[in-house]
Amino acid sequence: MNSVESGAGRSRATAISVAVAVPVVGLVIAAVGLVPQLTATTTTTDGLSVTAHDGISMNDTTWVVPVDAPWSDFPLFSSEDFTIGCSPEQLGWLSSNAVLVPEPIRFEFANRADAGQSLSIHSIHLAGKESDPEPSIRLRCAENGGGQGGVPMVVSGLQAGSEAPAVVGPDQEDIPGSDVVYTPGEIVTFNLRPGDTSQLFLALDAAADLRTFTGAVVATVSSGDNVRNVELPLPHGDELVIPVETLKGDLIEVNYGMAMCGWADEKGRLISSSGVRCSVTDIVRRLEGDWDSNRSGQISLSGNWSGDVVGDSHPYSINVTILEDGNVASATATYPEIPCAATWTLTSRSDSAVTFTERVSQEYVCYDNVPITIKFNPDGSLQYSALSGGAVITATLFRVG
Amino acid sequence: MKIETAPRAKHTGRIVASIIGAIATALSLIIGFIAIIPILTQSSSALDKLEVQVEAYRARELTTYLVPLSTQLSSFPLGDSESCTDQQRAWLDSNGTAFQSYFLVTISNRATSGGVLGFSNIVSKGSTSTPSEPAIIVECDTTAESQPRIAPARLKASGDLPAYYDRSRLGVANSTPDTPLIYNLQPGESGQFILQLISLDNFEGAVVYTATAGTDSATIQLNLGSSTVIPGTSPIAPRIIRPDDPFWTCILQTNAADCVGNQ
Repeated sequence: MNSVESGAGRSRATAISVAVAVPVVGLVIAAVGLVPQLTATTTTTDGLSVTAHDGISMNDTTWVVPVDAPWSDFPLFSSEDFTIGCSPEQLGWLSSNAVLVPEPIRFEFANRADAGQSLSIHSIHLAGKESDPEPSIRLRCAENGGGQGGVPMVVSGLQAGSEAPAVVGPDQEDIPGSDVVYTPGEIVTFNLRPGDTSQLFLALDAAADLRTFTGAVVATVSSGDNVRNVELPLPHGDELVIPVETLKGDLIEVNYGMAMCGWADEKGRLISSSGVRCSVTDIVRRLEGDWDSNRSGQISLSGNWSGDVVGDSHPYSINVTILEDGNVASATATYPEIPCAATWTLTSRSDSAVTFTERVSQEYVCYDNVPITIKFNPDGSLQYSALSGGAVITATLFRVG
Repeated sequence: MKIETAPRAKHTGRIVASIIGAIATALSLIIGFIAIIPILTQSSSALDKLEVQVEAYRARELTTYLVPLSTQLSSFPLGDSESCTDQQRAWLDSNGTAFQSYFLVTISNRATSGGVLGFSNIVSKGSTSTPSEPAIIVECDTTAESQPRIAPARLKASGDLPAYYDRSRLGVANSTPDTPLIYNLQPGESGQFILQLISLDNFEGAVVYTATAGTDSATIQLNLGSSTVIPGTSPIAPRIIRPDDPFWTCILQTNAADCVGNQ
């Protein structure tokens, strides 16, 4: 009887053990199985990581400086310094008194999730407001140019004042290791799977209407039904300012501690042939207009100029190549739409104007012996006027080529 | 004492074991339930998860005009820039008919799991008629000079071909073939493209696309507004002419039809 009882007791104990162990083991297995699910970071728009860096490591820094800045405090060296570009003292003055023209920005995007769907970034554009710029001039700290450093990334650009989203640039190459092809001409869109990263090199251009832009780079980020617009971070500061100078074409270039005053080409580089070393006094005079009003006596007219003629029966363009040797200048001009070609011979020259007589060959259909006056505009362009067939025609000529 | 105590201990042990077993079972049930929540709540790729949004592309800056060839085209104010001037825009307002040609299309797979959603085969469905006179298409983009070169998906509305990427503005037109527009969107992915509508004949109707999800497929209308009306240029093939196009100087020397043909 005892052995029967003892056997029954063992059976009950075994049954109880099994009844307890099975759920407990099941519980442990289920809990272990749940751990990845509970600890996984699923893709959400909050999982987007964006960092911003200067897109160019060695670059010319360019500043827009108000005309009424305290120029007399601008630190200039009387002889050459060994500092390439602007000195720390000059950069300090610029930081206090000028606005830095933003360099291209390199954005790094990452989807920090380790599970779930893709994270999409698109509609990258500039959002903000434009305002009239204050009287200002462009100053460039001329260092040696740099590059993107060979990091594969999507290259694009945005222009202030335009509602266009970023488009893949024409020089885009395949990104090694990426299974996504970014095609030039198509709108920049990133689709990041959990753990994916990508980069965007974004250049920023001033507004076409030459107004100062203040705002941010904005993108639409979506994941599933979750969609939101986010302001992308900036390498410096919280607000993006794309300044525009009012004295177009004028440029102060600082290098080796000294300043050179001259005129900028279309890419904002100093035209060295017409640049002269300038002192603080020169800069102030220049900004007050003295420099510009006396420019004709000091600065070469040589070069290619182009503009649109108005005042005739229909508008047309003019291209002029002026050659100057001392105080003697001559020129050849073409009016491509007429078509017509002419030569100009110098008749007089003063500090504020140069006059020519225009002669055309008989086979062309333009008026011959036309008096032409060239005056100097404060922005570095030339004001062309002529008495042609009884009509006063005018044009603003800009340097080209 | 021993005889009395032993059954009580066994009884207590059974109760404790039962409680542990019940708790473990209940917890397993709860954990199992938690585990299937994502499965129950997941949003799988299906046709209704494809979201398509359409808006006018750069409406403030870019306007497209149809200008009859009979217009005194030589009076168009010439410029030396790609960008459209105020005078040129005023001329086009007076001598042309503005129509919406460019659209920005954003497509998104709003699902959080599942397969790929397909978006393809953008075609026109509608009626066509012969234009009363030949015309040219003039693009007036006030900020063209500083805009990036785009490769829009071009749809010739009175034709049968689906929209294709027009890469002619990239300068590599001869090396990159025109490719049809197709998107395959994983869950969460988006795509954006510029759709450009032009037409040989007058077109009125709709633009549709094909959406696919696994074996499901549907033809869906692209929401471009109330009705899509694209004026035709026939018998001249539709050509996009910009303010700096050689066309404008060509017409000063010869007739416009020849200049269009020379583009």
